[in-house]
Amino acid sequence: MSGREGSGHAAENTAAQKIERQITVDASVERVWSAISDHEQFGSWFRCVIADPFVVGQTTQARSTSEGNEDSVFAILPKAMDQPHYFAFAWCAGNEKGATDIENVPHTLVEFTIVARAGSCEVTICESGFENLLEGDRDEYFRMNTEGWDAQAKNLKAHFAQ
Amino acid sequence: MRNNEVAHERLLPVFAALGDRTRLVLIERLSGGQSHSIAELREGLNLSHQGVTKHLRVLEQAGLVMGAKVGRERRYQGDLAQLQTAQNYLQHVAGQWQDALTRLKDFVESE
Repeated sequence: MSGREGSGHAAENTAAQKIERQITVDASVERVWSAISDHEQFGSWFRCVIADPFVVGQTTQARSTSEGNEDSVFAILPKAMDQPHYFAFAWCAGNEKGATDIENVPHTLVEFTIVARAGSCEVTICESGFENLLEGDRDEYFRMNTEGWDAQAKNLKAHFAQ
Repeated sequence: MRNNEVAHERLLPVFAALGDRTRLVLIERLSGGQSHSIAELREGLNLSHQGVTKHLRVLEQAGLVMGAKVGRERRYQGDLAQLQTAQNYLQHVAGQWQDALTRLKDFVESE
């Protein structure tokens, strides 16, 4: 009964373990594809420095360049690169040591889909697999170590303390 | 750096607990504010009493449901605060992605 078959109703309505966001970009599919699939271009908008070009099946290391997160190192494992529409990678966004064996540490899957629209294109990002984030690895997680989350965590703490 | 460990400790077992279709069904049944017996929760699920109990225990340990003995049976009720915490986390990550997409847009449109 733990399979993925059957009605998706419950999963959709109950804290679905998935995030999906979309944006319309005034550029060609090819332009967006290169911004996503080229590791240097990816790094410049994502705010990180990625060691190697993206190659399916090969893990590469990245270091955050965003303010306050400069110590954060994470690994990216490209899973599929279907030029120019689909790029998927597994990552352990919270692993400060930059794991090389992503499959064996808690990780999520990030998928980019690029669809052409009249004169522009639609970029969708989907991140899934949050159920893989196990308790034992909580020390590895930097992901919530941002001001926003800290403030939120404090609010929640106050809420729970009532 | 680690002042949010409280949130971590609460959160990660929650995601692990929710990563199962049966448990999502149970959570949905338990989120209506009323308490339910195991017999009620089993309805339509191809699971033994023991099987449901096992899933409920996982949910209970993650703080997603509360069980209490009423007479001879144990009744369960959802604890929505925990679910809200998990949703807040996903919301936070979604916000980060929204920001990243905006930067991607600026990046490709600036040429």
